[in-house]
Amino acid sequence: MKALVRLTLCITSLWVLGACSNGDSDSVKSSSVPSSSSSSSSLSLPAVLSGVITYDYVPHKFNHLGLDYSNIQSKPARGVAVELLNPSGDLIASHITNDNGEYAFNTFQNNMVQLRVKAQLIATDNQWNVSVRDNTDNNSLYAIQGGLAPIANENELRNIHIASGWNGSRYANTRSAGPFAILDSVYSGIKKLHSVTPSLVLPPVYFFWSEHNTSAEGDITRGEIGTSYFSSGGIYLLGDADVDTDEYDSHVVLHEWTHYLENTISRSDSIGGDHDANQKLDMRLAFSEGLANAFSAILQDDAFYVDTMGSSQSSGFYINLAEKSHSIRGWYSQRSVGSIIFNYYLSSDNRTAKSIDDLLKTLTRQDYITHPEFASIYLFSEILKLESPASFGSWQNLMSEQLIFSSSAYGEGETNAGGYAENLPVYKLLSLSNPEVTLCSSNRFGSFNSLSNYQFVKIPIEQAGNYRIQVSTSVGSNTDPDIYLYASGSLINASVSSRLNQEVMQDFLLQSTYVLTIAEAKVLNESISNDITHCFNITLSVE
Amino acid sequence: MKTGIIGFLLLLMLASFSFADQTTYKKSPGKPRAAAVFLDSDIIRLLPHQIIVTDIKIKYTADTISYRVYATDGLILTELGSSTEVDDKKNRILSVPVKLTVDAEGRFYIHIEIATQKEGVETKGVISKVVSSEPYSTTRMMNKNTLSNKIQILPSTETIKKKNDE
Repeated sequence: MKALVRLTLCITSLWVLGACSNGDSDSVKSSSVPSSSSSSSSLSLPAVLSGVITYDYVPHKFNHLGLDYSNIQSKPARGVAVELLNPSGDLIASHITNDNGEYAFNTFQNNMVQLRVKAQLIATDNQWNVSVRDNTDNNSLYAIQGGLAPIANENELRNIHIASGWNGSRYANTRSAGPFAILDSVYSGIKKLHSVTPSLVLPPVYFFWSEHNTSAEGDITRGEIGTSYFSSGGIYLLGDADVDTDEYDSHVVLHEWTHYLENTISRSDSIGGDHDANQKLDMRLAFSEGLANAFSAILQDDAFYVDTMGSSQSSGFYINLAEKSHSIRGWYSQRSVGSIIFNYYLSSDNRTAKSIDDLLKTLTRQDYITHPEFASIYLFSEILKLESPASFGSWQNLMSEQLIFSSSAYGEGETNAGGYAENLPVYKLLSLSNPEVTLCSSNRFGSFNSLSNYQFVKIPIEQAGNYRIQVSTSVGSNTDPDIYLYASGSLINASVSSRLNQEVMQDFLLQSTYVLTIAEAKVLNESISNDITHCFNITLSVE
Repeated sequence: MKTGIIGFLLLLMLASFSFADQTTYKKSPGKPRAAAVFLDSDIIRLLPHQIIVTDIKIKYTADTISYRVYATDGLILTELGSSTEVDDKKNRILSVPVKLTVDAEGRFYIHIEIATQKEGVETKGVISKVVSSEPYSTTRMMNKNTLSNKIQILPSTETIKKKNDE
């Protein structure tokens, strides 16, 4: 594929020089159009303008706690868009840097030109398009620009370095390297995925980063983004110095980028929200976050998820994804999910160690994406078993170590209730032959997105028709049950009225399997801190 | 007939409530951080030179919590102590009373760097509160999904030379 792209570029170039002659991955990719500059007269001699784009990378300290400004490294800006502009600012030619940060243009001596490097990863065959923008400045695209100068030599070198802005004790200058550090983390991720699936096409994605992006929630145009997060509109990253910055926290960048992968080339059923790695979580959130933690480590072969913050970015915490002994283990633990996926990635038991191949294929299989069950450690296990049966034994061993005892999509046979017996079975069965179930919604482990807030009900429909789902209170008073109906993880109906002690949903259901989630509305409210456990009877009937 | 119309209107109200409320079941997934949230997410408003005392309450589920409170330039913050209230086995409330004042109109932040420990495992995070002394009319509208063609040029260093001179 790469060879084909390179050949296409060479054919479309007006001047074919050494830049296109090499077939190895270090060669530079060139795309040129005729210059409209008046200086490129017919008497001009050809020239090659080349160079290297580098940026300041600030590593983490050896103990993983804080950024290490005493070891700032100059790294190549890989895969970024380089443009050659004429004195009017018009585009003459564009280029993509190679893995050494190198670019090359075929041009003419005496041409007045300047370079512009966009904070954008772009593939010549449109397989990816990643840009970093400023949400506090009309979502403008970050770029750096060289000076306007004539090409003085037949082989001219123009190198550009993008600095961190650190003066030895604080950020005293513009933090130009930030957007390029973010892109380089993503470039590592793209390369890892393409090492096993070269044809993978990734939809465009925007990162929004600013020195003003802080941990207060409010007006995003002022940088009040709350935290680093993924949304359908893009990935927002913190950048507020001495508070919380994430541009050099490559695991945080790739964690959020994995949420983007889930939502574009796979599926995510996560209900989101704030979460601590040491909490018992809703299993949909636990799987999504554990997967994102594991992939952030896998994509760069670094087991330590590191998040820095605080004064001079000198504080922080880390998660060792290879670690197996967690205080909270189970299908509701993001630590367990992350540990299983990462240690399976390391495993060489009937598979190639450190290959992401079977993990990626599982995530992108149609039977995973369209399965009626929610994306959870259970569904992933069932589909991985189909994808990679020979190595499934090692996966199951890792599951057992994390006290997860079922590998079927519905968690059938699970015996770990997470400290609350009402959590089992993971999916309660509601059907015309089993038309009534009782379940309990509780905030005993936290609110909104914690274990036991929602309970899950599997509803197999054998004949299409109008159905009625009714909820009534069995334990508790002044209850407010809410119900949500899903098909393949997509919400298709919700009944969330404020009626006391009951809820009703009527819908036409096809011959298929649906999933219902039920919660007491009060356990979803994070400002309510008293203990609430309400139990409900759910009935299914034909209308 | 009248009862029927009222019943229909009630049904409509319930149906619209159900629809409008659907968005609350899901939030954006953020990065892992210490499980601590403000009980009250409102902006703190005050006038220039006004002195206010407010109690910042943080709910957390960990076994222990430590914190550092600080403010952005222009916001004068005095910590008036702190207390932890445990209202049952898991829900703990950290109260941090603070005295605040500003000299000018503007938008400021109280940052709280938090470290929590649960069963020996430490997690950290920063949560922040907006303090505004701006007139209400200056509140800007946001449209986070609008992209522009604008390019923001950042400073960089360029070196130009003849390639053979390397």
